[in-house]
Amino acid sequence: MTRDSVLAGQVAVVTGASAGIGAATSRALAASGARVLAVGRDTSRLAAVVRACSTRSSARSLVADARSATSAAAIAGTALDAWGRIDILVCCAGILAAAGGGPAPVASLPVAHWDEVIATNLRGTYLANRAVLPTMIAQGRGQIVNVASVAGLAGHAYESAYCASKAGVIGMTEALAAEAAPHGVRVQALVPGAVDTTIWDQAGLIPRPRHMLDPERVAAAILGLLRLPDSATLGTAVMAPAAAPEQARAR
Amino acid sequence: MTALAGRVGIVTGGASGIGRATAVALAGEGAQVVVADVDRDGLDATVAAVAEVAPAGAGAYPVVADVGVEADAAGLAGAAVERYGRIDVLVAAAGILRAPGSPPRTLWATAPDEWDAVIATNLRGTFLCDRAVLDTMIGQRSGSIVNISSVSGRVGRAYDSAYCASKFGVIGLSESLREEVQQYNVRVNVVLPDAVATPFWDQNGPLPRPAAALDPARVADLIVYLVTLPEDTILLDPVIAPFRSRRRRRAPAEREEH
Repeated sequence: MTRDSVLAGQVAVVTGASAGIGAATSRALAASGARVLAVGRDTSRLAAVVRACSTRSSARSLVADARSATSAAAIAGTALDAWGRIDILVCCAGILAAAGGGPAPVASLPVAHWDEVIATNLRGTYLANRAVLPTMIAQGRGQIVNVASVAGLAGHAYESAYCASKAGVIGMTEALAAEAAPHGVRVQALVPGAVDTTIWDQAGLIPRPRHMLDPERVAAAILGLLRLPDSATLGTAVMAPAAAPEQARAR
Repeated sequence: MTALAGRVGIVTGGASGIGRATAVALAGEGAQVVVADVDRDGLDATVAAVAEVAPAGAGAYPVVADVGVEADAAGLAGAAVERYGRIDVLVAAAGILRAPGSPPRTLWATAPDEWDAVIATNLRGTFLCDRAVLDTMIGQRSGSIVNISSVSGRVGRAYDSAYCASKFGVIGLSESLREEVQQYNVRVNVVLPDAVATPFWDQNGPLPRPAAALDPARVADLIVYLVTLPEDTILLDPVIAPFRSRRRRRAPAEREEH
């Protein structure tokens, strides 16, 4: 990817940036000339992402937990202090299961594990969106891409909290898109099928799908959403491996 | 009118609206119904309404419970089992449109505690109550769960971000759970009502009420139908709407291009 006139110089915040879709999106944004604040929980992996970004553009890292409102405020504050504006937020922070947990039926899923998944994936997305919106509205301009999942279109066994959280992200994104549009802020959701990332380490005995998207392909789709002309939105865009189009179906 | 004679139901949100109408309808078909809500007075009124229609051997037993509290949800299932020995039906109707006293707000004006209140009751509460009855239903190798989502669980709308997120989540949860427990002959339904004429709309403050709203008894009729279907059949994610609604909300797949 090369610097492009649409994204060059824009200030982008990426959550979940230390791995997977978030890391790939951070690198792709930097390669397009955007200034990137990479936010994640893993200090060393985050540093590696920022090093990669810094060869192409200006990049910073912030170690923060998506579940905390204080962190969300710090995320917005850090971007503003560094660059004075926030043009883009891409919310990639997400977990499949609680730390130490794994796939489990509702009947035996510990409540604390449910809470951890909802707190990270759904509440964390709400908090990060909420934190950047006053800035974007004041600018009269900005855009957000929330990463959901096809698991939010059709629930499946043993991942109830993940499915509920990702369905919730789609509902929240649709509501916010309508609220923010009059202020010049575009909010979209990318709804990928299976992606080949470390999230599958949390999948226990659930077999990995035979066909998965590379995180780089998903990042390219996110940049595609961000590069859309101001006059258009894809709303919630579903993406699946070409070899497995059935992943894109709601049921 | 005794399709549910000898059956035991739990209805959350039983102090008003869809929950009260459902408690009346289930008991009218002969079921013993444990009705739960945070509103004690409303529960008493539901018990009185049930007494008017319930045949012998049917009735309502009130339990004050907050569905978003794990111990309350567990206590609800415990009360049903202790009192009636089984649980055949759970109708998870407890839901709020927004945090008590909060006006409609944009997402960026919605404080975390306002967001949390809606998610706690609507999404976490449904999870906790579903989870609380599963041991019993799985042990029985029978049972019907009816989770109440909304047309706002299919299409997000402005000023209701937490509500929409919660109701989308209820559909995701229900679909996951359905796949997990079908092997135990436990049926998980999710119903998506359009506007229903209930006190729920009081939470919208000065905003106009929907032009057309269903009698909650119609939703209760549908729920009775779902839980009395032959065991080999399920109605997937039915949307129930006022027939003459001018602006019927459509599923995303049916949306037109604007």
